[in-house]
Amino acid sequence: MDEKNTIWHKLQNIPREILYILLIISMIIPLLYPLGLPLPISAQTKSLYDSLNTLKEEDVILQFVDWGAGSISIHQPGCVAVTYQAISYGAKFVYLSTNTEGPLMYERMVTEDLQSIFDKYGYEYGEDYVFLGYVAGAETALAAIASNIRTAYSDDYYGTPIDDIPLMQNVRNYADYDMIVTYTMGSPESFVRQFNTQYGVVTHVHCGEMMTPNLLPFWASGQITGLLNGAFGAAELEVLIKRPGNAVKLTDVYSFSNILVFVFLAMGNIGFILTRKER
Amino acid sequence: MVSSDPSIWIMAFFTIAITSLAFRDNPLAKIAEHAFLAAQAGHYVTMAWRNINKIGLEPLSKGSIIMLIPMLFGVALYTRYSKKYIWVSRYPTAMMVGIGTGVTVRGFVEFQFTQQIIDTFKPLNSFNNIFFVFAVVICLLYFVFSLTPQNPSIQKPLSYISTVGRYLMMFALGAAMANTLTQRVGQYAGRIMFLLYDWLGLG
Repeated sequence: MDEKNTIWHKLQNIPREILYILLIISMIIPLLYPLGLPLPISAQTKSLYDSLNTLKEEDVILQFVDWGAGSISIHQPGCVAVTYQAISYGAKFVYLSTNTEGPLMYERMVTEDLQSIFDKYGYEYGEDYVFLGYVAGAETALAAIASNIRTAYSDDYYGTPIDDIPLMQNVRNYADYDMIVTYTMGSPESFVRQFNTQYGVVTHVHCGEMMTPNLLPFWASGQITGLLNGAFGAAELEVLIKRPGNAVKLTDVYSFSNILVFVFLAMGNIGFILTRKER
Repeated sequence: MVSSDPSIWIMAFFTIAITSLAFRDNPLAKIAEHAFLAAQAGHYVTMAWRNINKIGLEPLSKGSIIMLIPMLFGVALYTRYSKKYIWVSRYPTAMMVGIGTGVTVRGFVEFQFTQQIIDTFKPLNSFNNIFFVFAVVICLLYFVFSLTPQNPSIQKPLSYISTVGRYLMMFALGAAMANTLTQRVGQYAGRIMFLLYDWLGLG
């Protein structure tokens, strides 16, 4: 046998097309035939859940719809689960966005999930929830929202002046925000800096999985109260509120695809180690 | 049952077309890529115009003359395309950088520095805490480059500490890398769900 054509060499050079096809198959199977594997609840998600359970009627939550089309499957279930739990305590919602895709994501989420929840609890737009739309300026805009929301928004997304919206009559600055939740693939640190560090507002973050290791120190120090780890975090929250949805469906996909990747990583590394002497 | 909604079919086409890029570059993937970029650009321009209109033009039309100042600063940014007047664009740029830095820095020290240092001083009453403090100290020692003792009896233990520090950081980076992969899977799984449930009606 050719020295460079052994099984160990082949293991290190599996064509990417094969890997992608296997990965896609590993996603399709659990979506068609869910396994319902057990889902342990992380302390970060439990913190968010416990915090939501402290809400009182008329408490105001700022929800930053800052995700884009690429992470709908991760963030939308999280936002819906937070809303579902908070609404059962009679909390009010101010949705807003610092991402240009935010308005599209909000309207999609309302159509697909939130409207039925709002209808169930008799929530009215303007009275119990409002969408202020997109504001430019990133962290500068956040600073403005924290100190005086009227300097960032003069009307809501649909053009109603902010002073004519009943819910906004008593919502002016950080003192009126009982908690904020940001759903983002970007940099949630700026939200913590402007709301928690400056004014001590309870701050929750639902980030993508790749941001979680960077944010754990801030959760451990209490600067972030609740931290949802991507779709896993959203799935954990769905389990906690006893309303399993799309995020729970994704957890089997994660398990399957991660096992596949782990197997290929192991195979590639075994091949590398066994052929190392040749180099 | 397969969807009869044309918009679902268009979304399914673009999802499959852009997925095909993972296998090989092809015209369908290019069409999807360009369509996405064009839609993004169009959306950004629309949102930007909406923003200018709401924050600038509407208050201006109602007599808020002060809005002219930020708008003029905004227009001045475009002078960077003129060699003669590029200096004008430096004023709004300086203002934006100044405000951005000021807003960020006022919370930065407490958020990322003092609070994190305070939280590092944990009581050594559990394995987790002990390991945490050990890892912090070892990783910090890895970055102490100025300490180069000549005595070989000290050099050897220091090199072990450095190696352990490197491995600890590798574990952290490995966890971050694994999370990155998990996130990408989650993002793409959303599209697979769309294809299976919404398009093919298999859910």
